Amino acid sequence: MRVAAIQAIDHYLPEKRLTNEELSSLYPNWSADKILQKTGIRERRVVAEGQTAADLAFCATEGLLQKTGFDRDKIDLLLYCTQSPDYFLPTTACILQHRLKLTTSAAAFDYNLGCSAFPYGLAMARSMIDAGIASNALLVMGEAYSRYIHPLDKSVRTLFGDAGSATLVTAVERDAPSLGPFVLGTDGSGAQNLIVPRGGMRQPTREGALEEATDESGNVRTEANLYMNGPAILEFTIRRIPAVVKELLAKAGVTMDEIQHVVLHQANEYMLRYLQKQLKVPDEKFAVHFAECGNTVSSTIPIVLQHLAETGRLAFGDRVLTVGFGVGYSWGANLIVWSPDS
Amino acid sequence: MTRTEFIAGLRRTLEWPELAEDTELKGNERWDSLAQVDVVMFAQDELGQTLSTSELQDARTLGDVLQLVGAQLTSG
Repeated sequence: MRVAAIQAIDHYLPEKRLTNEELSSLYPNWSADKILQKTGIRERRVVAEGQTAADLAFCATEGLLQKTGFDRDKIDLLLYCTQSPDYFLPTTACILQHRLKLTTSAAAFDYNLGCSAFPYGLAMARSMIDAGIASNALLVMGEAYSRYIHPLDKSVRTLFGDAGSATLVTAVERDAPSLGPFVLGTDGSGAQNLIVPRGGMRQPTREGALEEATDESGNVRTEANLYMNGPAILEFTIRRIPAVVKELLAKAGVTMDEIQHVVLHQANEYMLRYLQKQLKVPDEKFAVHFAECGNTVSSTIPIVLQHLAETGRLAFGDRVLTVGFGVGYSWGANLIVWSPDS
Repeated sequence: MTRTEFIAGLRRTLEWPELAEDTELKGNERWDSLAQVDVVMFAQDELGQTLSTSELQDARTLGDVLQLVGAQLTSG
């Protein structure tokens, strides 16, 4: 049967590093050790002046195409996820199609999600391949939250890093589906808890309207900066994600014992620690790989999958459970049966 | 878990030895988002109770936080 399968993954991190030592010099009550202990992050990468999320996405995709030698003329679908587009319009995917020298017969569009982006993207790629609309898809993520973050807001600056990633999904012949089932969901009641309030059409940025304010925790931001209510996001995760995993396993008709790898969105140390314990996942199955890049939003899951593949931990036929969750609120979970051609 | 043990646990977790029931949280620089996350995790781990963060963020003193988990704590 014709199914969609992941063939290869690559990612790109910007060169500029932001270490815990640099951050602790800005936030007197937070030592470098405390930041590491609480977040699980040693350093994060951030875009340079003039560099955008699309530049990271471009580098990741070029790297993927060169590494695999895949004929770019065969790409007929480019899905690009970002919340920091180059422009309001046109769609950044159109710009990437041109920069990547993809054929003009390739479909290309953006979608706007954060930490749930990868499962959603896999669902769209699989759907379009299953429908016969596409055969060779690039699922590309590019995010640069550092562009939104105020330098003196430790609540988010300690967590988020910028990154781009690219995943090649192609139609192959297999005995069973390689991607799925999926559980996707949304609860927009949490929209205000992770948001850049100003700059869109609802609250446009007007000259002189951006006043800095200091919150009760001593964090400084304007309304054009990223705001995160960390405890509320944690509460959402605790209440929602274990149930999502349970639903996915039931839908797939498998138990956690039949899963070889669990790859959750790499949000931060305490969320991962809690979910691992709650889901009763042993260490050897629970993938953690974000200490050197931080929470890269839409790219955390592909970065971990690439790491597992390149360190020889992913075997053909392995079942991987992935869950992305966060801004929106939005969540997506799916199973991957790892089955690339080579 | 007793009320006293819960407070002692929070003191260790938050590295805040002088924390007491009448400690003012609102406006206290130490009561930042990370401290609130620590309290949510502590209540979850120790009591299996998911705190409502909107209620937690409305708490004025530690005593108010204790009221949120009061039913789970024994006296002492």
